[in-house]
Amino acid sequence: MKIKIYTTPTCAFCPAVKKFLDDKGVEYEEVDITQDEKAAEEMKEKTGQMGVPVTIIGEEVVVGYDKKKLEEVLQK
Amino acid sequence: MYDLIIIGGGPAGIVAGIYGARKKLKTLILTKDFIGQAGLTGTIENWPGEKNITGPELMNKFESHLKNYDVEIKDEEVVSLKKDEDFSVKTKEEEFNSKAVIIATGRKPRALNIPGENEFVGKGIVYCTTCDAPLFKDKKVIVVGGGNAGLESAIELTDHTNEVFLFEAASQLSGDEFLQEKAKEKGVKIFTNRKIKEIKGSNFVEEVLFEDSGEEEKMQVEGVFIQIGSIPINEFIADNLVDFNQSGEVVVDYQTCETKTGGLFAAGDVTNVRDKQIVVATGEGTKASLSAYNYLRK
Repeated sequence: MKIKIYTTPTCAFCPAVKKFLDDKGVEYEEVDITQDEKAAEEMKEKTGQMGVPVTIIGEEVVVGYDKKKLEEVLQK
Repeated sequence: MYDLIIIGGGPAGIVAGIYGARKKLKTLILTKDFIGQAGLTGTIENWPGEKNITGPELMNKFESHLKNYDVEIKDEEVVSLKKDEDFSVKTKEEEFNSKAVIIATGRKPRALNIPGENEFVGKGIVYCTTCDAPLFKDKKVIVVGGGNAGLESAIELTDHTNEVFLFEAASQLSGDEFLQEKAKEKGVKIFTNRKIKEIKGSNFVEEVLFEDSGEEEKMQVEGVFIQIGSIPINEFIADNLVDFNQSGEVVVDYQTCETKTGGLFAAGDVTNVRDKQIVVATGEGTKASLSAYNYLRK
């Protein structure tokens, strides 16, 4: 399953999501939207969100640092 | 049955947990995360031993220090706190009982409580400027609130966009003169007597309706940064267990951190302690935990 996480360097909950995924031992792609303007637009379009972190796991979108939801989606 | 339940995982709750463990109390910490307000802070320069550290880094260190001890932690959100013979702490999932409790829930951003606000959180409405400011590159944004937090937010936003407005509902800004000058220098357009009434849009924020000295006005914007202070997280506490001051803070004894209910303590920013600082909150967590230990020994 492909996992992508949108971040900014100054976002507090981004390291929390990354740590959660690291602890689970899953691989993910991190996109720093301050480095890639197109990615910011892409995130907005795909997820309807204008705040980071947003994690895309397969088809599912998890907004913020929502441990329960991340857990749930990963188990699928 | 636990000896001690600590509600909250910010600096006060973490240090209370460390002391609970060192005193060999059967301790449970209930918290959604170990981030708190400190974890949302950009840079911290007043925690001894760290000349300069980011909020998330410091909180990571706190968390791993706590986890060195034998403390039970559950990432559940507390919805109610009551006392019959013992304390009953309910989360969305379970109920726990203990002989003593420390409330260390801290504070959350104050909301405007206007139509459209809940709907557009994460869709143009932002409470953590440091987190999301880069997303508003070259976009027109409004910062709501003319205190230090509002001014700092506006200044930070000028790194990303030239169109930063600051609205203050009162007739004067309350933030430091120094920050007011800096905001003006950076090109922030500051308005007083402007009160936001409603936030509108379709998928994202598009428009803000406001009152300008009594007149109804509107403005097209893509971002609204709300910086009007914070409120203590206290909704779960049953009536009559504690006294609240006018700001909704839990009133505690300054020596022991005990509330008016025996065995119920509170520490850190949720209380009426004057200084809301990490160093103070950790000290208060210590006081509360040692007081709980003394209470349990009786």
